[in-house]
Amino acid sequence: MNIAVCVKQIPDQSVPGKLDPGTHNLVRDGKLILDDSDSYGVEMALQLVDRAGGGEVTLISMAPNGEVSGIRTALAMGADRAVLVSDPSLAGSDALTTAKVLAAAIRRNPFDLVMAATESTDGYTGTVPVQVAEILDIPSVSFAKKVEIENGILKVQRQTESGYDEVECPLPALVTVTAGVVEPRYPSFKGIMAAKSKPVDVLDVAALGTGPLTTSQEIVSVRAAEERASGTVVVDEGDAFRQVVEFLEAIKVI
Amino acid sequence: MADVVEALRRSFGVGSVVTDPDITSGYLTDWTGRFKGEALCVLRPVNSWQVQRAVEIANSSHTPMITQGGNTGLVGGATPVRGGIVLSTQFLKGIDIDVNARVAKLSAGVTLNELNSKAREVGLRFAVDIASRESATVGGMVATNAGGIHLIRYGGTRQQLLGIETVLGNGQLIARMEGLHKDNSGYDWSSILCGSEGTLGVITAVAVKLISAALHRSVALIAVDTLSGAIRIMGDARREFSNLDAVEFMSRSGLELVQRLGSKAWPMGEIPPYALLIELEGDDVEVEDIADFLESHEDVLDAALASDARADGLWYWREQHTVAINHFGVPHKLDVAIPIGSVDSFVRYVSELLELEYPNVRSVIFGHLGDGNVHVNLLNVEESDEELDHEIFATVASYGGSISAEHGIGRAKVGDLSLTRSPQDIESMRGLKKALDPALIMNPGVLFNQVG
Ligand SMILES: Cc1cc2nc3c(=O)[nH]c(=O)nc-3n(C[C@H](O)[C@H](O)[C@H](O)COP(=O)(O)OP(=O)(O)OC[C@H]3O[C@@H](n4cnc5c(N)ncnc54)[C@H](O)[C@@H]3O)c2cc1C
Repeated sequence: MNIAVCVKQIPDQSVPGKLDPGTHNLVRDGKLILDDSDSYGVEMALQLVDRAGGGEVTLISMAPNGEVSGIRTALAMGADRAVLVSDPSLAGSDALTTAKVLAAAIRRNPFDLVMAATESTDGYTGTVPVQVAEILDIPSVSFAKKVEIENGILKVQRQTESGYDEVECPLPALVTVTAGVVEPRYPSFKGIMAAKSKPVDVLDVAALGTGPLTTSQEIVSVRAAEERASGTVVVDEGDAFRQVVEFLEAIKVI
Repeated sequence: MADVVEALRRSFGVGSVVTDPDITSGYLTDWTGRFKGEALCVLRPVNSWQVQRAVEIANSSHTPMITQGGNTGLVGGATPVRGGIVLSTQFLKGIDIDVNARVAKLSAGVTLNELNSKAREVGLRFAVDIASRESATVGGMVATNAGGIHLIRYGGTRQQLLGIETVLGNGQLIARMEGLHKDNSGYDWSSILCGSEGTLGVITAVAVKLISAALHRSVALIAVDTLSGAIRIMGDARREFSNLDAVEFMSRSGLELVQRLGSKAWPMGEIPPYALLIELEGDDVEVEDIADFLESHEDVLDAALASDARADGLWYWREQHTVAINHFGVPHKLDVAIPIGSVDSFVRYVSELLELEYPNVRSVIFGHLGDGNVHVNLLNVEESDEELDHEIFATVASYGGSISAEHGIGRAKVGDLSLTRSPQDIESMRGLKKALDPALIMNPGVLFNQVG
């Protein structure tokens, strides 16, 4: 069982992000870390390979500045190898370009399954994984909360608004994993030491052999989200319940 | 006594003086549930002049005044005595930050989280951090001289204090709030009030230092066989890393309670006899450096590592202790300081004592290892049974330790103060109290037995 997991390395979300005033793209020149929402796919992939009794987990990532620290985190969790596509021409790529790059990188090695997060934490278009599946010409199942493989068939519990659907499809396939459905393991010190010597192939666009990539999407303007109006503070002087009831009546909730 | 409530109502308006039992009940029981009290009313002033007026009324009517902040104290110090006024600081809310000076001027009722969320907007934070950050107030932190998890690097609350505003028991309002870094013009009221547990006056505002917030942190949760092994790792880590900002220890019984209470599984195999948590903070901190260090250390059984936001998942095992213990019973909480070289021996002695002579008592021992601060928590002990507490405190004294490392004396340890303070020492402290609080109205029964 060979699984490719798409992982994004993103700016630390605890530090307020900045937009480039010219391109309107997120500034990514600092240290990048593993997107938390990708850690669930990595965890699931490790569990699936474990259960299958063998195989490899390969990380697939695209980052503008050759950054590997987020990849190292996932390698320390137990992934076997990584392919990083890094090329200055890819800075500010749109979702489709990103999908083409990832698909080309995935294709370089045999795979049974591709995993990705439902969306990245910093860009959240939520469209890259299904585009990757389309380019690879394989079926895709989104919003997985549980993934099993039985006799070469992929069985997924797919989250819906009212619960979940049970979905089956043949392999190879692509699955997007909902954040929070598994507890990603913490790297052990042995895992971190081992990750240092795991192979990371760094490729530029030419090496991918995709031919020229043109970005067709452009961000024309960016507007700050409207500030939320400040709420009403009810101080409990013994009659707060009355004020709350009145408020709820006024907005016709009760 | 009804006159006192009347007088307060006349001065403050009906809304600020609360007697409705549905509302007051939350103020009458401490966080652990071990201490319960009664009060005439809960008073919630909105500024320092109101506090001063309240102290005047308490003075003239000889009514006890119990100051309460977030009510997260663990020694019953904010739980009222019958017939007293609970003065809640929760509506004293002002935050004023000077970014260039790195000074914050804060009303006493500002919570640690409120302070930090304001300070983070300008890249700063308060150096003392405690797990009760959601509710604990800066007034309460100063009144107890709270220690917390970063003491080894930045010191405790007292080390952050630059000034104070207080209404003393005698009704005088004293303000030293300029935020001076140096001020040797006489007695230092900040130091005197810090750790006074509401027995000298009401702290209405404080000026404190702030430090940089935008730093990167990495955490290792380390499984070890023995506490002496943990202490060796700590010593070596302190030599290896200049930016170590937390060293905490836990033992199996506590980790098991945390696992039982929550939904998380211990991140590495079986729960070990002891665990050590270390945190490094700085711009150039990498988990790889910690992994390198741990790999070469023979006392390390296993370790899980994480950075930044994910590190909270490792802190969870330490921070959930207090909550988990309280979930499984009403604990006796003995927060003691032991010379670091003797922590291992002390913990072994106490564990053996419990095993041999108190087999029904469940103990959870953890704490701030870097400070020699050991939290001995005892479950299955009657709330009023203090025999075992005394025995352990006596042991602490024989090790040259202190019966209160960071929580204070409160009501819980009044009878044991003489174990770590001499009669002359206690007499002089009483003298200080009498000078500043002549009617002895401020938090009677806390720190000292009823003073005559
Ligand atoms: C989960 C948890 C974790 C904790 N971790 C730590 C820790 O790591 N380190 C630590 O030191 N403590 C810790 N504590 C204990 C507690 O949070 C601290 O003692 C804190 O400083 C108390 O603040 P408070 O506002 O809740 O004070 P309260 O509990 O309301 O009062 C505590 C004492 O201070 C007095 N007081 C409060 N405000 C004032 C004021 N404005 N003027 C005069 N006197 C006042 C009260 O009379 C009382 O004696 C923890 C508690 C919990 C529940």
